[in-house]
Amino acid sequence: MNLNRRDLIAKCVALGTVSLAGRFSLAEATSAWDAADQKLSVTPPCELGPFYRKDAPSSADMRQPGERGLPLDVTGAVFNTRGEKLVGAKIEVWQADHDGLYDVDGDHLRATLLSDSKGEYGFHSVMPGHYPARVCQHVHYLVTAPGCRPLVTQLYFATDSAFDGDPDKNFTRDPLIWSRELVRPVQLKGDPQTIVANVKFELVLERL
Amino acid sequence: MKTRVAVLLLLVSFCSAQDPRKLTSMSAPGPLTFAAVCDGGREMIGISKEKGVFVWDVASGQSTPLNIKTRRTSDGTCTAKAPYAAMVVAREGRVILVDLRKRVQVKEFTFTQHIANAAALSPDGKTILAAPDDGPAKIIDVATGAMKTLQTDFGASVNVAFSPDGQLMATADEDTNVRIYSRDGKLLSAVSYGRVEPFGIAFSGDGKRLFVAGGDFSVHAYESATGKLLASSEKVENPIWLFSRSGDSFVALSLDKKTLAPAALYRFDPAATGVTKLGFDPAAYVGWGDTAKGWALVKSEGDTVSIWELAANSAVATSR
Repeated sequence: MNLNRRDLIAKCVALGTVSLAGRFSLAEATSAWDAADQKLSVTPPCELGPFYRKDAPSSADMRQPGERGLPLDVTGAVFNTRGEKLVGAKIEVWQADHDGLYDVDGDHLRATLLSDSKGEYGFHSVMPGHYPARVCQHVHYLVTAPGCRPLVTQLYFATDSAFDGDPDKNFTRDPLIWSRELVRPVQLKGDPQTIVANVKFELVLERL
Repeated sequence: MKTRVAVLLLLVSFCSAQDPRKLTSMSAPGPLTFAAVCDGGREMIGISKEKGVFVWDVASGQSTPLNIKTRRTSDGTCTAKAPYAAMVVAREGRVILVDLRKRVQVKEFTFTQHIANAAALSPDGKTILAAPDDGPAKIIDVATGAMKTLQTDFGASVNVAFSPDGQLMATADEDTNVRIYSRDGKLLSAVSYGRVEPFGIAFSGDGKRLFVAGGDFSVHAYESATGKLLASSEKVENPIWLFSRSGDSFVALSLDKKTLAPAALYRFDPAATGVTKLGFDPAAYVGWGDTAKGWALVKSEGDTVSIWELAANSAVATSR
């Protein structure tokens, strides 16, 4: 049985193995204990948006042959706030294509991934395009794992023209970017014929 | 043959008669970002991004500025029968209650530090159902300000609605479910909308059916008490964003897949199986509401705001 921290402390209090001797509530004790354990901050959330489709295919290669746009490889790992890597976390990603269009009838540029035995994940795609309703290029994420609060967030790119080369200063140009942390550096790899944008995006989920 | 011609002519006449017609044009302090027609079409509340909140007396066209500052708004609503209050939801995460008669703000509730998606006001004006974009919808007791948070599997509630008698509430949730609650927030049923998100929800006049539209481009009718799917409409060309009851039928506004700008206006018959695209350019659409005879659409163009009326029961024959 997986008890969350609050349930565990409540059970211990009931059994007499823990007693609350200070002037604080059970909730405050739980929060203090969790804070003491926390090594990583939760990845900032960002809205889900209207284009989510559940049960997308499990292929990590979202890039179709002849796909227009700069190839994009995203890698990372999934952690909880204790810094423990989460194996088998479900990572759902979806994005617009190079022209800024979402596939609203099918599953193009959509995937459901699982973190591997090292807690890591990755996918191959293309740099998403801009579209009128949003300022910045982005990839949507929905991450779920047992014992953790679901994470809804978005990945942004430091190379986005909307930032004018200075994401530190200009990331708020997109009103939906609540944290600079979601804007990730881009590393270009490969050769002149096959340049690929590489981005690392670690995901930290809040423990329940 | 004569009968067939007569039926055809009848249908053609219905098609043209059902399109929204302009009721009135009024002066505005500038482009509006949101407007709601209230109190059976007698008043309208609107927000100018630059000049703040105004209330219009629709008959005279006179507007009165309210001492309320908002930057952006996302949704608004009015009580169905009580003409004393309207509500707007500011994009800053606030719900503002306005007394239309006294032209003053009555109350304000901040229910999120992020953005507000939508809100609904109970017919008796005592309860607000508010949807932030960083979590599930919240029930707000207008008298005390007490808030109760509802549940989703993940994400936020996109839209919210009260039944006409105020006894049922519904949420269209990003986790692709539609949830129906009793007035006190007890979950009565959760309905899967499929793989995509539901966006628009509206109860039937008797509250027995819930109509839901969204990312699958169609409308579905559910039995409110059980969540049982009763009927599904044919698909339209785009995702359906806003959805509202108009007399015995339902009206929906779709959004362009790329620009997310209003794309077209549709009408659905009560069985939610027939769809009629209406002759209305939604480009300058900023809001809607009820009139004495049907349903209002508001367009804002420069310093002019116009109200268009869609008669409540004119369309039923066309799409069967």
